[in-house]
Amino acid sequence: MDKKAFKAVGLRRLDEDTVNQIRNWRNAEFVREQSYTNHKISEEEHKTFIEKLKNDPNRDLFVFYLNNDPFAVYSYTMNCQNNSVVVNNYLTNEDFKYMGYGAIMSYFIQQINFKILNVHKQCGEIISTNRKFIARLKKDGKIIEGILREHALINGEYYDVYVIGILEEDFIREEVSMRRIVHSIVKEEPIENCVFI
Amino acid sequence: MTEKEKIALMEEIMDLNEGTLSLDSVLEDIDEWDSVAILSYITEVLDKFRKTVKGSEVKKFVTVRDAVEIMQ
Repeated sequence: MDKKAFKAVGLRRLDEDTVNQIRNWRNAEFVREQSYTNHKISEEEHKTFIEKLKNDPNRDLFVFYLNNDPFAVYSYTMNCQNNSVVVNNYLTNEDFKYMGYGAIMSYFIQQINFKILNVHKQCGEIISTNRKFIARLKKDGKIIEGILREHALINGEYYDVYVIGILEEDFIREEVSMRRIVHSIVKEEPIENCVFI
Repeated sequence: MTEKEKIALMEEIMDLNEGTLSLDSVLEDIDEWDSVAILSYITEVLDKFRKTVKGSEVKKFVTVRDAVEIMQ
C-alpha cells in the first residue's frame, strides 16, 4: 500500500525556485479573485513580501507537499500579545479544487497553529467570492464571528468578508473528525510521515 | 432506482430540500456541491451501484444529469 507523505517546508528552507514559484501560484486567477490584493503581484512586490516575512519573527510561510508535490501555500501572522494567529492560504493549482485538498490544507494548518505554535485562536477572513467554502462553514456550524459588509473591492465590485475564528477548544473537539475526513479523502493511501521543516 | 430517486439521492448528498434539483441543475452553481459533497457522491455510487468513480471524473460533471447517469 502506497503511503502519502505530508511535508510542510518553512520559507527559510525553501529553495529560490520554489520561492519564486510562490508568486506564480499566488497570481493564479482563482486565487486572486478570492484575495484582497487581486492584481497580479509583480516580482518586486513579491520580493518585498518575502523579505518582510523573513525579517519578522511573528510571520512565516509554508509550502505544503503531498509526496513531494506542492499543493498549498500557508502564511500566518502571529499576535503574541493575544496568542492568536491570522491565516492566509491557497491551493497551488485550480485542479486541486473540489478534490479534498482544501480539507487537507485546513487540517494541517490547524495542526501547525494549535500543536506547534500553540495558539489559543486561529483567525481568518473569507471573501464572499468563495461561496462554496462559506456555505460549507455555515452547514458545518462553524462560528462566523462577523460579516464585514462590502469590505473587499475585487474587479470593480464590492464583496462581503466573513470573519472566522477557531478556538483551541474547537480544534480539540473537531480534530478527530477532521482527521477522518482527511483519511477518507486519501482512502487507500493514508497520510503518514508528517514532517514540518 | 428511478430517475426521481437518483435526484433525491443527489439532494440528500448535498443536504438540500426535496425538489431543489432537476436534471439540468448546474452543479457549479450549487453552493452545496463542494469537495465534501463530491466525496459523499463517490461513496454513495460505490455503495449503491458498485461503481468506482474518481474525483477527477466527477469534477468534469456539469449538470446533475451527468452525476445521475453514472448511477446504473
